Amino acid sequence: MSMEYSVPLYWRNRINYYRLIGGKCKKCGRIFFPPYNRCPYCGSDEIEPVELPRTGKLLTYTVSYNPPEGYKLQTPLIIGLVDLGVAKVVAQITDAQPDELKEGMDVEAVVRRIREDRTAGLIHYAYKFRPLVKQE
Amino acid sequence: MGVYVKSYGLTKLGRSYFKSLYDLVNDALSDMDDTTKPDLIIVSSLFTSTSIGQLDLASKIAEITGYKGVPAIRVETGETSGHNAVLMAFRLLASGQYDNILLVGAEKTTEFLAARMYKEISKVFDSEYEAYMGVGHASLHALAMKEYMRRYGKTHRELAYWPALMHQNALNNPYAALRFPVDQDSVVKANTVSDPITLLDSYPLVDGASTVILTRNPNSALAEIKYAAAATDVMPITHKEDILDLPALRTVYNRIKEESGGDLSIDIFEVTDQFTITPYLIFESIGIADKGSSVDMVNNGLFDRSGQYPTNVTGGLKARGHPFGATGLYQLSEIAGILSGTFPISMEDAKEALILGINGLGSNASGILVGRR
Repeated sequence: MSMEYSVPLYWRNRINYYRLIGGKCKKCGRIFFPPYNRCPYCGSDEIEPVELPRTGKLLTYTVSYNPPEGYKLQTPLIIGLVDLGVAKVVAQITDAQPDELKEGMDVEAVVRRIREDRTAGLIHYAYKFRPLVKQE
Repeated sequence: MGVYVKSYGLTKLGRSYFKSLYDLVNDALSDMDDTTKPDLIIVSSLFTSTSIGQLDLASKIAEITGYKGVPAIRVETGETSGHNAVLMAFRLLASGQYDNILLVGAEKTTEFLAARMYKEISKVFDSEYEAYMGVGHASLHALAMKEYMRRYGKTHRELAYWPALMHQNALNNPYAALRFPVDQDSVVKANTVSDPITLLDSYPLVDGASTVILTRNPNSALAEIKYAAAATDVMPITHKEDILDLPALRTVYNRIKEESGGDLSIDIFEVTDQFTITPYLIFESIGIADKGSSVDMVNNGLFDRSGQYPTNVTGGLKARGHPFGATGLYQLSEIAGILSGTFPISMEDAKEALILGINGLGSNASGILVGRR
């Protein structure tokens, strides 16, 4: 059995990966994702975790036919830049074919399988975005 | 106190399956043909702990170059590693701490299948929130390219003037990896890597090595390093204020301009054009083109070798190739060669050249101002 990816690293990030936790600077008010211990805009260390909105707009996206190793089964991989209003997120777009996507469309976050760690079998989950399912 | 390029050596970029990284360094050293003993060696390489499985590469380079005993360090700042190796050497020489520094840039990117290298290369972006999601080098540039085309109403074909120009420029560079012409239509129609980026919008994966000796001794030097500067910006692209802006590179450019008395007269630009979109972002970020206007300027020939801003006259990363850790040293070697008339491509009236490099979409930026001797 060989394990390629660090388990502690994944474990430390899991809440951010599952629930889209960003950072909010108490000093300048900026919200950012991924969260850091210090504000990337003003340098303050007064940062509180903040759960980001789960819906936003798909600013732009690309369909990757030659992704890095480890994502072959998901190829072509759709990568989107999503604007959640308070912050932006780069993520995979799922549950849609490329021709169903449009810039500016509403999308929502879901938790999905990102990759499997070879023979170790550990499955990594995190956020992806899909076209917003309208509730009647 | 001045800092000068004493000599340089290069290998032809390409897929060197039958040569090791050390063979390539040896070839560059032979090409340089300079036995000046350095009092410091600075090595620039990104992927060697994966590609050839070696740490403390600097010591091994010192030994295989015949300079066992000389202190040696390695610089790694992603795609600007070579540029920052030059910056470090420039400052150390200018401060009088050393007299002669040997710079060695070397990279092997063909030791594994391309998908494995793409995974390594994706780490030049944020590892835990971008590379982790399967976002590759081309994909983040593709997001920028698509956003650029949308915001300014430009077509892929218009942008493709750049790769066609680079292939044209590389025809005369014997060290270039891709020495064949392409036209704008074939760029657009090539296989898609990450849309809209096609194979011909992208740099080729290559192996190569470059060696440079920087010195404080002005006698018989090829060129002068007039100034070098660097700056950093946010790493995740989601922290950027604007995906199309490179503020760290603007800081570097303005710093170099200030250092030159507020006025720059650049005869040759040499920029890191990883993908078709990258040079446009660079020109608009440093201000030699207004936002959204660089595509028209490029299409009007302003960045051709005979234009107002001759850029990447040896083919750029696009056609010369992008040997990552060695890229900055290829740029410096070629520029020093052109300014001194020792390179196969000549530009007789050129007196000053500016080398600019970015990592990713601008998390690290570096600039080197080079003058004719």
